Amino acid sequence: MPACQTKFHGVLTYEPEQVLHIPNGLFGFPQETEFLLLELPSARPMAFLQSVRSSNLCFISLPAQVIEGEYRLSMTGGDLRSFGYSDAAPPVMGKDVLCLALLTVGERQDTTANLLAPVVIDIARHRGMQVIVDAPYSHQHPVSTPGLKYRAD
Amino acid sequence: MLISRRKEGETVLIGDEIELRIVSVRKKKVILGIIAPRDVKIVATKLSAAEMANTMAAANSVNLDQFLHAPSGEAEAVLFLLEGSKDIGNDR
Repeated sequence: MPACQTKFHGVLTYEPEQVLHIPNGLFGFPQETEFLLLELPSARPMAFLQSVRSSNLCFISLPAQVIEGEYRLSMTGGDLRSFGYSDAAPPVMGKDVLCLALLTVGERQDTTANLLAPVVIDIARHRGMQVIVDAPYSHQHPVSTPGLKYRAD
Repeated sequence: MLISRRKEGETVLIGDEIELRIVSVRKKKVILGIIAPRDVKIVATKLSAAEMANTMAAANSVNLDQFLHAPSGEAEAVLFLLEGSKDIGNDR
């Protein structure tokens, strides 16, 4: 069973079929195409995207709808098709796909979430894609969820 | 900002080497064609914002215990099975 040195959770072993494939990588990280999706029971619904190849690369994320209750995933036609969907039958969040917003956690500034470019994960196929949504969301959306403020004590 | 009215197929020159062409206009979408020297970097504003946000998110070096207000001692149990992942989006 392969093992992965993680940024936050020590060494974890995993089954190859648990690897999340993101063939195009993430914006600015085109070479990062394999991740493990991790969660801490006490931190749900937060999820951690740990790179398999880079132990020091782990994104902290929250489902976009947890941050913005009215969030709608509006993928462009090209993105939908390359992800195996269509304009007529887009994926449903929470059913077909997870839509995760990556968080920037600051010790001094407030935590922000990238609602402009969520990581969309096809639940059945274990495939992911980071997309730029066709809607006026911010890449630095303030996260006001209680309990998410960094507390340096 | 210079505002310039152009129809489909018309062009604008920026400097001597950069040509902007209105390829097509459909409802709320405009398709632009850009002809520029190879060394001119052209990036859509949203893409550059997305790259910047990823770079900042990757630099998170928080103490998780403090950030989460909860001990991350159960770390060996964290491997997240994608099969069970449907719960995540359905929390609300």
